[in-house]
Amino acid sequence: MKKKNTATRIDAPLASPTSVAAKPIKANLTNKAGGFATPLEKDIGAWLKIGWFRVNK
Amino acid sequence: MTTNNNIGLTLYGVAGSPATNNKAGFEALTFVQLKGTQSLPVFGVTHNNIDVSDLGTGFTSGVKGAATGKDTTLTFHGDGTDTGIATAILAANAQSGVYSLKIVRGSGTDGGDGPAPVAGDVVQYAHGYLHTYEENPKDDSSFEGASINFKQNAATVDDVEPS
Repeated sequence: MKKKNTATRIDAPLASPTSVAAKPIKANLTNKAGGFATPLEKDIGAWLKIGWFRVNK
Repeated sequence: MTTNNNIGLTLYGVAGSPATNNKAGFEALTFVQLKGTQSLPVFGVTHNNIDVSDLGTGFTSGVKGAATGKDTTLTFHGDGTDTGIATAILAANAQSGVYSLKIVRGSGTDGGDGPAPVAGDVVQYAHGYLHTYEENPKDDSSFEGASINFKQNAATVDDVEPS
């Protein structure tokens, strides 16, 4: 009996990781006064230090 | 050079200050329009002068001192229930009053409260605190409205509306 080939097809070209521009990750923040902000995740430390905190939006 | 009038300028605000006083900081804030404004705060700073006298020359010269943000007034008409105005009144009456403002010269669709900002429109940002909420006189020649003062606490940031 012929064994079924279960290997992944590789005839389709794989997308290069660099072919699509990475969307910057942003954080959702609020503060005690009710303001909202969406800074870049990489900048979050400075915002948290001045009283902003994360919120699920 | 073109000189425009100020008609069409709109004001936006948010209760809070950005982590950094630059374009990225302000663009991260979620601003809400303060509708019904009649005059806007004037952003800017002034500098102290430090007198340095010289006995030999008999002349006192000045050197530039520290900067301080301007303290100016915004006025609006209405009963204060507009969402943006309400946040400003709340901040003006709160202990800290920390607030950020954005002045927009919009070129978008006017939905009844001035031209909406679109990408590329000129904007100005400043943060500081709001204080001194004062309602208009209650007499037969005044309309419903109030004034609020804005004390700027950092340099003005010039930008364009992000896309």
